[in-house]
Parts: sequence; C-alpha cells; structure tokens
Amino acid sequence: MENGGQSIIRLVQVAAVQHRLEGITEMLRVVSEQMGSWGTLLWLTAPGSNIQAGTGRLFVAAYWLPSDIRVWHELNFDSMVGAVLRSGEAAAIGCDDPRVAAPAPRFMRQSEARYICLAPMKMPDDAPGVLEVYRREDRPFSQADLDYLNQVSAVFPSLLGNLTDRVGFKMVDDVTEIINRSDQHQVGRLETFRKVANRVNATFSCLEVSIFLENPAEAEGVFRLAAFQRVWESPWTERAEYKRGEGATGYVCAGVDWVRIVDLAHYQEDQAWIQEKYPGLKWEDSLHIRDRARDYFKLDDPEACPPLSWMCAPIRTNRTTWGAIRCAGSTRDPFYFDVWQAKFLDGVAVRLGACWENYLGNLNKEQELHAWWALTRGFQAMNRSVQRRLNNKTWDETEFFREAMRLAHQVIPNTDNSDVRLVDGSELYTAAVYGRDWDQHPKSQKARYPLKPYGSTSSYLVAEKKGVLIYDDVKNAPHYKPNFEETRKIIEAPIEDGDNITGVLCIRSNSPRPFPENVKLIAGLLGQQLGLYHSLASQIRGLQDLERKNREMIETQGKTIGDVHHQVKSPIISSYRTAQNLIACGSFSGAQRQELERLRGLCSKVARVVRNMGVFSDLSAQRPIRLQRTLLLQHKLLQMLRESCADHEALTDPQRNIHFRLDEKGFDDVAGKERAGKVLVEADWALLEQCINNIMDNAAKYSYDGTVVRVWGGIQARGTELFMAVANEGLEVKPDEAPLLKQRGYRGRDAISATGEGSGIGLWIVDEIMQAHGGRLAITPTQNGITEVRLVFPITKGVEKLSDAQDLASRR
Amino acid sequence: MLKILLVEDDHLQCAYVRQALTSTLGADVTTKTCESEFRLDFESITAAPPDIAVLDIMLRWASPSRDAKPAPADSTPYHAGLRCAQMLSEDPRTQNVKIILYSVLPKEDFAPALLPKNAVYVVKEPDCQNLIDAVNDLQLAGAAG
Repeated sequence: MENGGQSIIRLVQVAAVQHRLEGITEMLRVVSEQMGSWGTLLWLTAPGSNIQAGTGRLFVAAYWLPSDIRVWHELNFDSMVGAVLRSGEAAAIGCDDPRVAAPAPRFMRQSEARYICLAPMKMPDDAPGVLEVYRREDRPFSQADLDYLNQVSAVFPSLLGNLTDRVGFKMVDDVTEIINRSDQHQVGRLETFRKVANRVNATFSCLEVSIFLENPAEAEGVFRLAAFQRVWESPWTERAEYKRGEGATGYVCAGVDWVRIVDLAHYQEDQAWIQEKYPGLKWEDSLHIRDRARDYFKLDDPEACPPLSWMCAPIRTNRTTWGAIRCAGSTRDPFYFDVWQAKFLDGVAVRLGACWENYLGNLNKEQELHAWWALTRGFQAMNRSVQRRLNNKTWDETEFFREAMRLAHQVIPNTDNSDVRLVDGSELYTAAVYGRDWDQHPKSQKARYPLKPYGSTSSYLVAEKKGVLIYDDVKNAPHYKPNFEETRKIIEAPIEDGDNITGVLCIRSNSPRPFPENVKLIAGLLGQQLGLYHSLASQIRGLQDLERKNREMIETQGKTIGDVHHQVKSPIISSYRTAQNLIACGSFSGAQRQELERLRGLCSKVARVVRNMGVFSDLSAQRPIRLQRTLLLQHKLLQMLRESCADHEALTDPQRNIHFRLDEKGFDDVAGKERAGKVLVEADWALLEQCINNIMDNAAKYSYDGTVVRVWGGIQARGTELFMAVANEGLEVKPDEAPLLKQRGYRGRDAISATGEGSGIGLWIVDEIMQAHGGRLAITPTQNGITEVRLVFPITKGVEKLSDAQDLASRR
Repeated sequence: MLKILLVEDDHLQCAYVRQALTSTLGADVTTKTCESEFRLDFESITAAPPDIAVLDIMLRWASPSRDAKPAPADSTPYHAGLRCAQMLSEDPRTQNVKIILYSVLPKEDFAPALLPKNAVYVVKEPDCQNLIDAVNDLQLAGAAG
C-alpha cells in the first residue's frame, strides 16, 4: 500500500472533484483501493440508539463495492462494528474471528471476505460511525493499514461535509435562480415549482419529491399539491392535500422546523425517538412508499424493504408557514438522507416561502384590482338595470337591493350573507336580504330594530351618523344583535342620501380570515350607490304619485271644460240668435244696431272660445274629433262668412279702422239648391264655423291699423279642393315660423306683444279639425306684407258619394 | 274735478268703464290702450298727474303697427299693468297718484310680492259698481288724510 500521507492526499483530491452526493462512493472506492481491499462500508448509528446500552441499530449509510450487491443490511451493537464503536479503537480481524457474528451475515458470505478492518469516527453532526474495509485475499490488515484507516476516519467526515455543502449550496443557488426568474415573470408559477422539485430531485435522487402550498384565499388551512417529481409514472392518485397537522407532511406544515426520519421501514420501532423529537407526528404512508420502493428496486420479497429515508421542510417566511417540500426515499447509494441534506432542503423551503408569499401578495393586488373592476362593471350593470326600469316605468327596489348585495359578495371575498335595512321613522326595517343563510331564518328577514335605544349595530351607525364600520370580530361590534350564530365578522355601510343616512348595508362573513384592506372603500361606495338609487326611487315614487294626481286633475279639468262647453254652448248660441233676430228685424236706430252687432260679435266670440274649449278638452283626452258631416250649401256658407266678417269687424276697436271684406265670387261653383255641375263638399258645419272664426280672429288681432282683411274662396288643385282664405296685412309670419303656428301653445313674440290674451291653441285646433276633414290648414308666410291662411277641404266627387242621410239632411 | 287715468286694452271694456266713471262720478277720464302708449305718454301724465289710476293688469304691449317699438325683452303682457303702477309709484311727480289694479283675475292669482303695497285691488265685475266704490273710498281716504 502507499504511505499514509499520499493516500490521504489522493482521497482529498478525489473528494474535492465530486459534485454529487454519490461522490461519497468514489471516496470509499479510494479508501478500498488505497488499502488493497475489496470494498468499504460506512456504518452509522440510527437515531435513538444507545451504544453503551447496546440498544438500537447500525445501518450502512454508504458503501463502495466492485459488484452490484446492495448493502442494505443492518447490525446490532453485539456486532464487531458495535464493539469498535464502544471501544473507540480501530480493529483488524479475520472473518473467522469469534467476535464476528456466527453464522456470518449474508453480506459477509456474499463478499467472500477473509479480513475486515474497522475504524470509528464522528460524522459532521456528531453521529457515531464506523468505516469497515473488506479484504478477500489471504493477507491480514497490517498496523499500517490500521493507521491509514484511522487517518481516513479522521478526515472522512470533513471531506463528506465539504462535499455535502458544495452540493447543497449549489442546489440552493440554483433554486434561488429559478425563483428569481419566476419573480421577473420569466417563468410561470407552477412551472417554477416544478423546476424546483426537479432541481431538488437532481440532488437527492428521491423516489418522490413534492411541494404542498396553502392559498388562504382559496382554502384556508389546506395545503395542496403544487408540484412533484417521482420515479413511478402514473397520474397522481395519492393524497393531494393536507390539512394542518394531518400526517407527517401536515405536521411539518403546522410547524416551523424540518423533519427527518432516517428509515420509514423502522417507523414503528423508532416511535420512541420520533415522538421525543417530533411530538405528535403521525406518518400515514399516504404515498404507499414501501410498495413504490419495492417496485422501483424490483424486490420480489414482500417482506423485504429497502431503506426509506424521509425528510420534509416547512415552506415558510418569518410570519407564516405556507406549506412543505418533502423528499421520500433515495434511489441510489447513499440511500439515507442525513442532517445536512435536511438542512439544505430547509434552505430551499425558505426560498420557496419568500417566493410564495410574494406571489400571494401579487395575487392579492390582482384580486384587489379585479374587485375594483368587478365593482365598476357591477355599477354599470346596475345603472343599466335602473335605466331599463325607468324606461319601463317599473321599479322594484327590493330586486335592486339584492343585485347590489350580490355585487358586494362578488367583490368582497369570504362573505356569506347580507341585508339592507332602511330607516322607517324611529326604526330600521329589513328591506332586502341576500344569502342562503336567510332561508333558515325566515323571521329575521322581516326584523325591525329600534334606532334608540340602539337595537343593533346598524341602529348605532344611523343614530350616531357613523361611516363604514368593520369588525373582524363581531364581539367588538357595539350593540351587535346576531342574526346567525356562525357570523364572525361584519361590515356595516351607511346608505346615504346627501347628509342623511337612510339605511344600512350589512355584510357578514363566517370566515376567520380578516377582510381585505379595500373593503371599507368598497362597502362605502356600495352604500353611497344604494343611497343614490334609494333616493332616486323615492323621488320617482313621488313623481309617479304627482303624475297620477296630475293625470287625474287633467282628466277632471277636461271633464270640467267639456261640461262648461256643454252648459254654455246652448245659452250663448241662443243669445247669438236673439241678437241676430233683433238686428234682422231692423227696428233699431243706427247706434242701437251697432250695439246689437257688438253683442252678436261678443256672443260669437264667446261661442268660439267655448267651442275651442270643447275641442281642446277632446284633443287633450286623446278623443278623436267627431264630425257631423253635412253638405256645404253655398248660401249658408256665404251667410256664415258674412256674419263672421261683420262680427269681427264689430268687435275690433273702431279707432284701429280695420275692415273685413268678403269676396263671394269664388263660391259660385259651390253647390246650392242646384247641384248639377256644382262642387260638393262635406263638412261639420259648427267646426267649419269654428275654423273660420279662429283665423278671422287672428287676422283682426294682428292686422295693422287702417287695413282690410280679405276673405274669399274658390276651387283649386284642378277642381279637387275647396278653399276659404283669409288674408291680412299685419304682423309678419316668417317662413320658418309658419309650421310652428300649428303647434299647440306656440305664440310668436310679436303676437304676444300685440295681444295680451290667447293661449296659442287656436291654429292648433283649426289644424286638427282640418285634418279630421281630410283637408288641411295652409299658412302662407308673409309676402309683400300680406299673410294668407287657407282652409282647404277635399271635394267629394259626385253626388253618389255623399252619405244618404246627410244628403237628405242637407236637402231639408 | 276728479281726474282718473284708465289703462285698459279692451276697447269695449274701456268704453264701458269710462262711461261708468264719467256718468257716476263726473270724473275726467283719460285712457291709454296699451303699455307702450302709457310709457310713451308718461311725461305728459306726470305733467298733469291724475288723482287715481285704474290699471288693467294684463295689457298688450302695443297694437300691431309697422313702426311699433319692440317690447322690452324681459316683459310679458301678464304683468304690464304692474309695471305701469311701479312707474307711477317710483316717479316723485306721480307717487301720490292712488292706484287701483283692475283685473278679471282674483288677487290670489298674483304673488303678493308682485303687487304694490299702496294699490287697491278690484276684480272686474259686469256693472263696475265695485270699481266705483273703490274710487269713492280712495277719495274719502284722501280727504281724511
């Protein structure tokens, strides 16, 4: 063999170039080669072992052999390894030495070794261990071999620790890099965790690596599978989530320290130290890891069990444990996870914790943004709904409140039920409720709360004019009156109408999680929005009430006007006829006759105004104009026109010197007693008279002093129309004003100045009457100072088209 | 002789009232038929103020005329008589003229703030008797004062 110094140097050199944990086997190979041996095993004491008492066991942490023999056997402390540990002295013996267990262990038989050399050592974590070197050839180990092995055992733990650190730090650095990329949004979050699991697995070569994380916004206290890497290929059918404290993984999620179980195959017999170190831990083998390991190593013996080392570290930040990363079983030599590996896994977990917390923070911001977006959209939808209701003239405030509460539950997480309470005198009454919890409490849906003394927190809010109140613990809410036992948190937002609080929006949560930071603002906005709509609803109800009363009043007015029309019509016509008869008898002096003519004119004016009222009443009530058609006879028409001209002239201030001139020639073709070849026109006689008087009245009012109002008629439109025209010289009617004059209530500014009376309905009524006749009112804008207004009637073609009854009446 | 200024735009009404006041009270009645005429003649009114002005409240601005001045932009016929009353009250030369507001509308149809405090309100009746009584009351009050 080489001298000790050179051998150690080679071991150090080999150890220094190792970059994987498997490098330990290379180091053991060097030891074997340096000692001219067949193979080398590294024995460690299992946790909980007592060397002096001889309890516990020894297991092979790593080995190098020039064959594919798996060295998974274990020893008790009666073995030679145990003896070396107890004595603390290296030893070299033959395999036939009585201190070697008899019969010799299976591995010893398989190895065909003749000599063994052993040296005790202390691992980096102070765990006692033994290096055991096997030699097949018939050459006992020398003192130099013993000295060499002693030297190796002195440096081996440091070399191994150095290797573990190198590999471990590299792994942590790589994980940090993966996470950094993720934080820069270069890698998706799930992809990040998958990469981390892969990276950890690349270092520890596990049967299974998995990461479990809690998202409190989704499920508080539930840690769900986020990523995994494992040697068996199949969909994940194993347990995919743990509650805090459930199983060994849940145990880690509930704490802040990592857990390492050296060999799950001895889980039951190791309970004493496991419970001492990890009180309450209960491993459930939810992965069926024993079966998986047997399958992986292709072991047929159902009793056989390969080493099943297990470690799990909490994914945490300073404040919170967010989950766990676990490693189960190793697929290669070394088959056991040591303390340092567990510590590096813990380092990975800490970085994952920061990453997850950062992600949740961003998620919260995104959720907050989403909440604002949803709130905005919700308000828009509510506004549209209100608009539709306004258009449809339907208003269901309860339905609207429910819509607002639905929006509140959508944008504020973890809310369970809510209600709207409105002020009614000295009480608050429940106007609307939302949430399934109410189904079980029908009486509460109608609850009333006195404002003073405070009957509820809502009463306190209204009476004291408070803003939004938020209580993460209802016990702190003043004058709280529970509707549901499960309620843990409550939001109370005032429903405001200007400076007045008209109600309260109450939102409840059964969740222990605190409300998000933006909840106060959101609840306040919802309350204000509800206040606006409630105010709007109140005003609309008021307007609808007014509208109804107004409609009733208009109907009453219409009836009254109609009634006045009927009552006055007969006496005023009688008065008119009386005046007419007196004038006709011709026995009065000139002055008296003038007075009589004025009286007749006044009667005519009153009759016209009263008839206007009647037509106005009908039109306002949307009743069609009812025509009593008769055939216009020439002599009657001319008589009516003459009297109208006389009446209006009589009523005009003589000082204004306005005269009416009727040109009768144009009416020659209108049917009289002789109808053959004459123009036949049917019209309602009274309404025709009304039209004539209305347009003559306008002519009288708006003519300049000293002018003549011309009245004439005739046939136009190639014999299809009869017209009656009134033309005057007076206030100008501009082209754009002509159509306006037919509108109800329109009066030109000059017209208003020229006459204090009138309401702008005269020409509107004439237009309606003419349309009812199938004719029209034609207003020609002022040309050369003259304004012309025509009543145009359609001419009936042929006698046979006349109504018989009316025709007969006209004959009479 | 009692001097009365009558502002009334209905010529029939104007003639009737004038005749009633003249025949019953022997008054000297001057008439104006629209607001613009009242304003146009205001200087001559102040030169020889009447004892009493009987003012219809609703008055047209002016009869249609080719050369009529347009009505002030903010004026309507509905309160023209009140504007005339205000002119009389505000001018020192006519502030002692007693004013009778004479309308077919009841007093309650006008906002109290619109009506001059020193004016007497008389609703038009067919026989003018209430107007004549009001004129007599004002005369008696003036004599007592």
